[in-house]
Amino acid sequence: MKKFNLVGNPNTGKTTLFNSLTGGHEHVGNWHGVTVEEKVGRYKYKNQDIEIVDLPGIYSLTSLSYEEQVAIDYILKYRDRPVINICDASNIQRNLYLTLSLLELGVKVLLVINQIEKSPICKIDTARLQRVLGLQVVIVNASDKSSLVKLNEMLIKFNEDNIEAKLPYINNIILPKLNMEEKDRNLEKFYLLKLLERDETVAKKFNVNLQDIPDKLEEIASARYSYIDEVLAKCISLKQKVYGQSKLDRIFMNRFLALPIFIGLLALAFYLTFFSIGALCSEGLNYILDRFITSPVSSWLRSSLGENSWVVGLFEVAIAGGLGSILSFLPQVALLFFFLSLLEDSGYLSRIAFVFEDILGKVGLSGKSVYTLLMGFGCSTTAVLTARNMDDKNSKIKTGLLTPYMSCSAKFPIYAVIGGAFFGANNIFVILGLYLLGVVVAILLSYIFEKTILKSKEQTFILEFPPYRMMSGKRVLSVLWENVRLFLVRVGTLIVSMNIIVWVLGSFSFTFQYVAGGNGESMLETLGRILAPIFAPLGFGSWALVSALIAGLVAKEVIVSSIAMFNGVESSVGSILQDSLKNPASAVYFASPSSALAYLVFSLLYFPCLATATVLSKEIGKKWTIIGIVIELVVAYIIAMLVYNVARAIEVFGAIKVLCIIGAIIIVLVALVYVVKLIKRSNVCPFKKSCDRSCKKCKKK
Amino acid sequence: MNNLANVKLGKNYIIEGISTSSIKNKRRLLELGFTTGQKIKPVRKSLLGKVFLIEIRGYTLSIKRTVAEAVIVK
Repeated sequence: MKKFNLVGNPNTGKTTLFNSLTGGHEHVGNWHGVTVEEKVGRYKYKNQDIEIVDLPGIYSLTSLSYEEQVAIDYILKYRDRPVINICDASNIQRNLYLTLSLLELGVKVLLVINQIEKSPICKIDTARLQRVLGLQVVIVNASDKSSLVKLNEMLIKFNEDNIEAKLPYINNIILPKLNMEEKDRNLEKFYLLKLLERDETVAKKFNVNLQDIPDKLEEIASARYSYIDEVLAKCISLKQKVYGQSKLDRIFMNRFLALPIFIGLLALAFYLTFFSIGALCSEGLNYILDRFITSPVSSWLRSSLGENSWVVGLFEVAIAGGLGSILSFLPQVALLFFFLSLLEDSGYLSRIAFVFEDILGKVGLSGKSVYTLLMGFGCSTTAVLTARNMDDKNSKIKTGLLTPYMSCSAKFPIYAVIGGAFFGANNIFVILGLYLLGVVVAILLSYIFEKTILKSKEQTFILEFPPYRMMSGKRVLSVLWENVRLFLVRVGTLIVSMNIIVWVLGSFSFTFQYVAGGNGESMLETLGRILAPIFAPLGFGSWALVSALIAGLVAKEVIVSSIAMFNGVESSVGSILQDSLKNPASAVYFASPSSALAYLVFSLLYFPCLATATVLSKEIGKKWTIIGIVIELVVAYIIAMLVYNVARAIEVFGAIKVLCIIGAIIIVLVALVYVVKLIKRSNVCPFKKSCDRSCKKCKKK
Repeated sequence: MNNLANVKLGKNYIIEGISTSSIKNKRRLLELGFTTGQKIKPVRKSLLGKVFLIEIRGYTLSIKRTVAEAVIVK
């Protein structure tokens, strides 16, 4: 078995190369006792077993973060293993800096130059580069499997003996003296260099005080870079081309135009996905499903088993319903990923991330998460999927948790029916307010998450600027196919089974009598009756409303159809249903507009539908999904209660009085916060950084 | 003394050195190629001016204002 470590700068296509080589058959484990993932992939090439370990991205062999240290420790531990050093052709100088560090360590290096066609390199003399540096070089395109043949040939033939690294600049650096144990002897040069570079990990290892060692950090870095320049001058010719300054950038990154353009592009993607193309495809697929499968099977079931058999219900409601919703999701999934990869691969999202870094950074979001969140207005289930490939785990979890707060299109019928009944022409403002409420809650939560449990990774340097480029058709197809397949395999089956569970709840009593025809109390109804008192403070403590909420777990639009069913109204639109909501005799009855409003607020916030919850638990884990749901329930309860009580007070006392009271409360709160800040500030040194610690405040501390 | 954060955007400068109390920032800047004598160009600022886009050694990257302030240029 040939074993290799895969090493490279962050964002060089390392993981892409890993997946292309190993065919994605990685084994993901954890490094001993730590949370960084160890990815080992094994595969066969021409009957040779090859094992590759994918290490976290590093810039050099001195770590700044925990993950980097893990990678460096691993390289040191297995330094007799050759390293596949992937290198992004767009900034080859910086990538070679790491290569030199590896060569200094005495590791055998196979340099893989990636994405050369998108880089400013026009000619490269690989034979000469191999000779000058003393390593092996191969040019690949990591996302194109066919280009990897040459690399694989080199891997199986990799012979360590006939290459010798050449690093003339090292000889000009005066190394300090140090007593070492025998086992560290062969790495003496490496460790001494690291000490000159003021590496604290190495200093600790040898018990050296860095004060006694001269600071040659800058000298060594300069020496490496001048050597790189020297080597590249011999082997590579570059086009002069720099990104971030083109005419397109002047428009896309303009202070005033950037935001409108961004919103415009997203709105277009949104419209195409959820209304025009996406909606047409969904309808078409559902028509085919109904015409060729649902209708024939259901009429056959009805004729052979009778109208009222539970099998008919199971098939029509649970199975066909579930399949129908999967089919309407499919075109959305494909289109959402199409637009995301278009925006991302073209280099546009990096630019947006840069322009809005100031604002988004505050609440811990990125350009990518904004895409996911805005698509949540269409459908949370499919939108959450697009968070899949986010690099930073915490941002991914956060984005996933926040997406359900965006008012998805399935919630719209609820606002239209219930709001329309109680607010008439003013309902448009109620609906607008609900959408805004969702966004505001999401931003607040994001801010709280960022400050507490889900801090996003600090990105001081990382963001690199890609050139604008067109996406290849091949890549589009592979992205679409991969995501559609994953959606069907991982989510599809679960959606159907969730549908069956809720159907059972709604059609059987606790004694397992089939009660779908209305001849008995279903489990759903019983549950509704038990839970109803909890919702009394929110103004809608009736069993039917609570049962509708439970039924709405499947999909939010079910809330309206359940209410229609409870009220004995045939259609779920129109004024008959709306009138029944105001009739004290019907099962679902709102005593006042304020309780209707509270119900709308609760429907907006209370739970991601089961399909979304399923996707969430696949993408961000069970733990975070449960935490997210609990937070949603609590937030929904509190806000709905606030809304109900304030609205109720306005109904009873009139708007002016209530506004005065709220105003007074806000003034008192602001005053309190201000006083607390004043007290806190009095303890802080007034001179800040320029203080020499001798002022009164600092002495006290 | 000029640093990257207070010079004009879109002009070329030469790095004179890195002045920061944070050894980590200094090391990372050097690793990224911010060596003395290197040509460098601040390209643009973000909306509120807290992040800078910098062109160096043929690639473009963004750094925070606090980090840019440590890079002394002329």
